[in-house]
Amino acid sequence: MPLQDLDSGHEFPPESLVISESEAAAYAAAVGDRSAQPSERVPSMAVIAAGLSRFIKQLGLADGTVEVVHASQEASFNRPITPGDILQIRATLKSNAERRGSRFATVEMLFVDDAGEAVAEASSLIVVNAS
Amino acid sequence: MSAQPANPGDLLEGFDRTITQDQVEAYADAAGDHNPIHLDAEFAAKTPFGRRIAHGMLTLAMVSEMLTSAYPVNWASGGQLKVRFRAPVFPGEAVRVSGEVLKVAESDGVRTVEITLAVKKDDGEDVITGRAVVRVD
Repeated sequence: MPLQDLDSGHEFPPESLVISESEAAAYAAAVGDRSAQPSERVPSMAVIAAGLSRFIKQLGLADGTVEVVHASQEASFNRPITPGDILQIRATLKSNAERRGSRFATVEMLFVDDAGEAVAEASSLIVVNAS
Repeated sequence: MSAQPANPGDLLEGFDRTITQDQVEAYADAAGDHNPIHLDAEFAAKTPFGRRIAHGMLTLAMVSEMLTSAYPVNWASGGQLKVRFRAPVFPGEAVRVSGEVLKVAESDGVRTVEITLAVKKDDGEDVITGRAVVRVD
């Protein structure tokens, strides 16, 4: 559904997320993370990045028809993520408003493991300009 | 490894990095973010930036790397950050990632540090500014 048609408080369909050892290694290599040990631990920000990408796609903002800019990011981590951990991402559109021709949307994500424990949380403010 | 930064004024071990277009493309695949503003030169030329820009989350990953190096256990277990993306990084540009302990707090026997975070370009332009909070042992 287009972002402009969604109300604040909209809950996205949950997404499942599993980051494999090879995916963690690819992420660490791409960002140049020299501290990473991707066989033991997924780089913390990889989880947030993967989640945000999924909801950008759900909103239809990844197809090149609009210009999307990431304005701010909050994140908190409760425990390390191990490659292969099965996570569910529960996301809510916290705010969605148009100002001066741009749309400002905040997506909040909660990452929950298969025991039901929250392992990370994030809030992302994105700005969408029609191109 | 040096002692973890735990007192006001302590500096985290920062670093300089140059972000390349190859890196941006590898990141797009790794993170699943193929927004054309990062990848498509023709599309990016029509945006206010005028050319392709690196993903903000790619640059933020470097901040997280610095925090992981400084606090190998506690960043991933209880760490928090809040940042703003102030300016885009264009592939080929170098950035400096840094952090400094601003203050220390203690509550119920748990000691935390608040850290100012910065990513700047060579000319001093802010790319990312923000704060992190991490428990210290």
